[in-house]
Formats: sequence, C-alpha cells, structure tokens
Amino acid sequence: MRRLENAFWFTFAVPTVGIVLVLFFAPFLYSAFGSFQSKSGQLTLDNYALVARLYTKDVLYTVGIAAFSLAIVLFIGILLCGYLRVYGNKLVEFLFKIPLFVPFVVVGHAMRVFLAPHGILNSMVAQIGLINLDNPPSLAYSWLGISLALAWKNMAMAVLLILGAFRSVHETYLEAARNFGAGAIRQTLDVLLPMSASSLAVASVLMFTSMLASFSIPLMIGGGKGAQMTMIDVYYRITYQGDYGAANALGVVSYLLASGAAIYYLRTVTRK
Amino acid sequence: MKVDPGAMGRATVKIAFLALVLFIIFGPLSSLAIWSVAEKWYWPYALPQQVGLFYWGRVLGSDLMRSLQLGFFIATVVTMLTLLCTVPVGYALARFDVLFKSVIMMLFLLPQAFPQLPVFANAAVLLYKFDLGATIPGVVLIHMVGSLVYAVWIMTAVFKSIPVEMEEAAINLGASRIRAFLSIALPLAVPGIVASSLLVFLYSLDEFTGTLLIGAPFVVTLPVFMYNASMGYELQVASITALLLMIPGMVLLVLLERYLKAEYLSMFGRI
Amino acid sequence: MVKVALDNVSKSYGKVRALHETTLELEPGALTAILGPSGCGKTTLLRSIAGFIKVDSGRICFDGRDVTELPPQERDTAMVFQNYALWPHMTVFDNVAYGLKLKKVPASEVRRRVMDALELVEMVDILGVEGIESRKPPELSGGQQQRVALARALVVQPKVLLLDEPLSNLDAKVRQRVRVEIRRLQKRVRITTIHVTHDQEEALSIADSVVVMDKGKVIQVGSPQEIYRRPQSAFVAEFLGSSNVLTGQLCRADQTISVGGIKLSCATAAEGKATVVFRADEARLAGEEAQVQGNVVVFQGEVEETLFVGSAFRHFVKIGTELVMVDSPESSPFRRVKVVVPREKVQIYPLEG
Repeated sequence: MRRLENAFWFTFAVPTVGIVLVLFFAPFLYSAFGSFQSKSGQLTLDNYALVARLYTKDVLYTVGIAAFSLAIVLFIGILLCGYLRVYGNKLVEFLFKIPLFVPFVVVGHAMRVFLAPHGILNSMVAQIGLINLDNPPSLAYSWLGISLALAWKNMAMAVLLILGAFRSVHETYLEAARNFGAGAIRQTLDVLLPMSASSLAVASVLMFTSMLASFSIPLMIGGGKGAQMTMIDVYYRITYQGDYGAANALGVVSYLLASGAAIYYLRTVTRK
Repeated sequence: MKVDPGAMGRATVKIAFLALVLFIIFGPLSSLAIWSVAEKWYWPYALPQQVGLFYWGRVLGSDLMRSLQLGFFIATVVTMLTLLCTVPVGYALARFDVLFKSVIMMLFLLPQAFPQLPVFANAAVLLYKFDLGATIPGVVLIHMVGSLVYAVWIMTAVFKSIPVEMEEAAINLGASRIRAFLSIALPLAVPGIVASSLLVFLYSLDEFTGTLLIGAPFVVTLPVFMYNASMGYELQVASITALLLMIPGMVLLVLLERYLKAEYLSMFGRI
Repeated sequence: MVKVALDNVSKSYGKVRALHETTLELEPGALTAILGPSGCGKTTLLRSIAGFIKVDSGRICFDGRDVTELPPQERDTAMVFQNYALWPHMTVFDNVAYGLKLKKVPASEVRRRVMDALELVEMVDILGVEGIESRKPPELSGGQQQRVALARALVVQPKVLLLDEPLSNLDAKVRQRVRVEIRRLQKRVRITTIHVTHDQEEALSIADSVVVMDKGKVIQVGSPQEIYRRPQSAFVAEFLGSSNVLTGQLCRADQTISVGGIKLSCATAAEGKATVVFRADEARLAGEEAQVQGNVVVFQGEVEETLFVGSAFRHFVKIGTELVMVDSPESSPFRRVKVVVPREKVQIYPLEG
C-alpha cells in the first residue's frame, strides 16, 4: 500500500523533474562542455582566449550597469519603503507594483521611445528649457538608459521585498524610536534597515543576478556600437556567427558571475 | 477644528510627491499611449501633429491577432500542464520526506539563480535535434521550464501553509492518503492554486527570451511580434502591441491586489 | 511630578469604540494601574497618552498643558513596551543611549546618564561595563531585557512613564520579583507612572491607585483596597477575584430581593432584575441541619464538585439553577449544604435599563 502510494506521487514527479533536467540542466552542462570545444570538437581553451580578448570590457560594463541600477533601486527603494512603512500610502504602494506586471519587452520598448533623443522625456525637459532639442542628449542607446530601464523594472520587486522585510519589523520597535523623537528617516536608517539587513541582502543578490542576466531590455535599448551587455554578446555570437563555442564560454563567465550571488542566495533560502 | 498652518504645506508636499511617483511610473508608459495614436509625428513637435486610430485599425486586422490567439493558446496549455505536474509534486515535497528532497528543491532553485539565455540557446539546439524547433510543442516545453520551477515553489509553500493535522484527522477517521489529499488539502489549496495558475499564465503570455530562441521564425507570440515591430521602427504598431501586452498583467494586478502574497510575486519578478 | 488629566477623551476604530468619553485624573508622582480585560481600551488609553494614537475628541493635559495635538517626542513621556522593543541590532549601551543621542546630548554626558540609568535598574553589576557595551538584547534573559527597557525609558528623564503590560512576557516567578522592583524604583524616582495590566493581582499589589476599565469606559477609580473591598459594580467584583454572581429580582413594594430561593431585605428604589455578588472566600459551608446565627444570608444548595486548588478546597454548589463557588480550608463532608455569607459581604447592584 505504502509503496503504491509512493509510486502514485512519483508518477507526477517524473515529467516535472524530467523537463527541468532535460531542458535546463542538460543544456546548462552542455554549454559548459561546449565552451571547451573547438568547432571540430577538440578540447581547447581558444574560446576563453577569444572572450578575454573581445569581451572583457563588456563583462565589466555589464557588472557596472547591474551595480549602478542596483544602487538606484536600493537608494530609492529603501527611502520609499521607509516612508511607506512609517506613514503608509496605499496608492503609492499600488503604483509601484505596476512595473512587476509589465513585460520586459514592453519596458524595453517603452523606455526606447521615452528616452530617445526626441522622445517624451527630452521633449518635456526641453519645454522647461533645460536642454536644447537641436542637440539632444540621448539616454536610450546608452549605459544610463539601460540602467534606468532595469531600475524601473526592478523597482517593483525591490519595493515588494524591502517593504515585506520592513513590515515584519514589529511596530513597537518603531514606536520606541518615535517616542524619543526619531522621524521617518531616522526610523528607517536606525531601526528598519539594520533589523532587515539579511532580507535586504538576499533581495539585492536576487536583483543583481537578474540584472546581470538581463536580455530583452538591453536588446531593445542598447546601442549598436560600443560596449554591450554580455547576454547581447551571447545572442549575437550565436545568431550572427553561429559560434557556439565562444557564446558558451561567455555563458560560463556569466554563470560564474551569477554563482557567487547564487551560492549566497541558496544558502539563505535553504537554511530556512 | 483648528486650521493647522503646516497642513497646507504638508498637503503641497504630498501632492508633489504623488505627482513625481505618477511621472516615474506612467512617464515611460505614456509614450506608448501617445505613439499608439500618433498618425503623424515629426521632430521638433512635442506632441503628434495628427492623432487618430488609423494604426489601431490597421494593427487589429493584421498578423497581430494571430499572434495574440497563438499566445493565449500556448499559455493555456502551459498553465494546464504545469498545474498537472506541480500540484502533486508540491504536495509531496511539502508533506513527505521524499528521497533526495533537498536535491530536488535545489534543482528547482538553480534555474532562478542562473542566466537563462545561454541555457536556452543550447536547449534550442537540443529541441531542433528532436524536430521541435520553431514548433508550438517546442515553445510550450521551453515555457514549462520556467513555469515549473516557479510553480513547484509556490505549490510547496501553499501546501505547507495548510496544517497537516487537517489531513491527519481525515486519515485518522479512515481516509487513505490520496483521499485525504483530494478531499481536504486540495480544496483548501484552491486559492493558492488559482493565484499561481494566473501567474503562470501571465508568465507564458509575456515570455520572450525562450520564444525568440526556439519559436522563431514560425511561432511568433505577442512579445516577439512587438520586438520585431519595434526593431523595424514601426513604432505605432509596436506601441499598440505593447499596450495590448500590458492588459493581462494589469488585470491580474488588480485581481491579485486583494490577496497578493509577496512571497509568490518575488519569484515572479525574476522570470 | 506631573499631573495627567484626560477630559472626555474618545477614540473609535470604525464601529468599535475603544475609548468612550473617558475623564480621568492621575495623581502626580503616583503609580496608577489601569486594569481591565483585553479589548477594554486600556492600551488605547496608554497609547493616546503617549501620543501614538490621535484621539477623536477630548483633551489630554499634563499639568494643565494641553498635549492632545503634540507628537510623541514633544510630550516627555517614555514607554516600556510589552515585548520591550529593544532594538536587537544595537548593544545595551546603544539602546539606552539612543534617546539622548537624538536629543543631541554631548557624548560624555550620554555616557554618564546611560550608566546612571543602568545603575538604577541594577544592570551594571550584572553585565559589567564591558557587557553593557558589547552585549545585545537577544543575549539577555527576559528579566534583564525588562530592566534595560526600563533604563532606556528612564534615561531621558520623562515626566510620565508608561508601562504597557511590562510583566506579561515574564515567567511567573520572575514576574513576582520584577513587580517589587518596579514598585521600589517608582517610589525612588517619583515619576508619574501609568501601568497597564490585565492581571488584577499585579494591579492591586503594585499601584497607588487603580483604574478599572471595561468596553472603553472607566468603571471605577480608587485605591487598591477600596477597589477590592468595595467594588461598585458586578463587573468590578467579578473581575477582581473569585466572586459569585447571581441574578435576583428586586421588589420595591416590600423592599426585598428574591435570589436563589430566598428573600433578602434590601432598601431599593428600583424594580426588576439585579445582580447579587459575594466572594468565594467570604462564604462558608455548613451542614443542612446546622443552626446559623448572626446577620447572615443563607442559601440552600447541593455540592456538585469539590476541587483542591492549593490554598483551599473550592466547592461548586448548586443553588436553584445557579452555580456558586465557596472556598474553605477543609473539604465539606456534606452533600446538601447551607451557604452562609455575612450580610455586609453581599453586594446588590440593580441592572441598568
């Protein structure tokens, strides 16, 4: 009987685990092996040499953009969530959930037209005379545009996670501080932030890795020339040159970048 | 009631703050709305010279409708298959000391932590080997990788939140494990199951990376359609598509707002 | 020493009235216990005084100064929370020093005052100077956390000290000890103190004056002895101890009340139902046949159950349709008994409405 029941549950586990094994872990390992193979199938380190030669700058560029976006997201997210936690504002909280439900491609396209040289943002800023549209600055197709788009999309997640962490701090800890005259900012920095530091660290890791791996947003608002995000390099390497070896080597580099963060994340999640 | 001299100032600050928030959130999205009705818009005008629904009419009669139908079909299939797979697995993981439990949990965590694109690119090679490249089953399978990983975690959480004593009471009265699951745990899990199937549906509808790599050029869902239009500088078409693409998400957001559980969503934000 | 006065204070949450036209004066320098069951409005009252809650109407005054509209930090109150709310990421020293740092007190003075406050609650000997600077609240025992929380409140030299069920998270044994310490400490610093609790024994033993609340209203104010000996309503009598509450019928015509099958003479201007209250430990049992003398009330009843409760045997006696408790040092040998209560210990409260 017992064995029959186990078999019952096991039946459902097979396709579930199977799909993930075949379509995620097999390709994952395959890309790792593929990165050490030349086109003719010999073992080689050439792919990595190529990556080091061509893409070192891009990797740094990617890490820089992810770090910068994360800084924006954390800075705004912490202050905003502190405000929302202390005073509460249902409308603002709701508004900041919207980006979570806007698809990445839509964010990419919207930011593309919003931040374009003659896009809405520049038009508006020009109306109040801050810039001259004859020679407009372009945020789209630049590192700043990608950072802003990533920050916009991730802000919703940040607010969700940070506010969740802040909400789990019991009200009395804030009242004890308010009792001595601590305002919203003091309550945020002295009480909320240190008391939810570990949750915030996990949230930061999550967002950092997802920004490192971002594809559709930089695909739509990244520039055609100059440095690229690594995922774009991987995509172009495959679609335009059919060079899976180098693409996989670059992929492995991106795994390594993410894995530092991933290990930390896994440790925190599995500890529970 | 006394009139507080500071109240006016505070109200002003509050309104300014709200205006800023509205601009941050809706600024980028407003450009979609404007472009969708711009029939003629040349630099240096701040707003379109000619506004109308011309492009809406054109777009709604075009391939877009086919992409829309296709996307809904794929999303429905993905959601049903995902539910069928993950409800029992989530239950088993929540209740039993399954063999290699931690390994399985890890299996479903790693895809969330690593970049998808290089993996999917190699998965595409694999799918083409089995003649599944650029076919609907291929796209369904690649969507399921993401949705399974996500749904297993939600289902496990949902079943963990149901006190095990409820089922033990039923088993104690003579129900079999499976019967206890069907008559006790499953009905109690319905709200969680509904919430997660909506999220899986939306995920499939919005999925881009996998669909682009595996589906192109024959399986074109709405996100890929929009990408093609945007890259081809058909900004009106792309903007209208983008607006249409946002509708399901916005509906879901409003629907979920009442019983939005942060832990379910936090995973959604990544995929 | 500040006199705290509430004038017609009301506060509602939606349809629930947490405070209803509460008027109250608290003696300067005294320890006032606010006693009531959960949901009676006592915590709302405390938090309104602290300024965490904005009241709907009425005024709160400290020494005649209206503080109703002031934010918490401008009221010079300090609160000790039920869960202590000691910040777990700060050391004991930083916790206590926080209020002073926000007040921009110079560092040297901060140090002196923090140490003084911790000395006052006798924590310096326990932790040592080094411990104070390195240990964090989660490493301390409940009783120690309680003292640190007190020090954190006292260090800012508040005019009013607010204690929100500060003993409810402690073990029964520790609670007894800390109760005495709080009493002693309060007598030494003579800060007007308001102590909220649902534990009647705690309220009676610690306070100079007790305020009993129910359903958002103040029911009775008085010294612990007054409250205990002369409860002015059935609610207070019942809440304050093992009391028996019977329903009787008043009759104005012959100035009596019928209760439990007997008639008592009773000066009354009212007609209708009334509540009859006596304490379990002020009644005694006698055999059915026993002769009882003196100014006493005698009920006939049957013992249904006898429980040994440590300090006494508690008898549950059925009188007509009602069940009363009678405590006595020995278990009653009789089944059919007389319940004998001195007449002056029987309180009669006409039911309102």
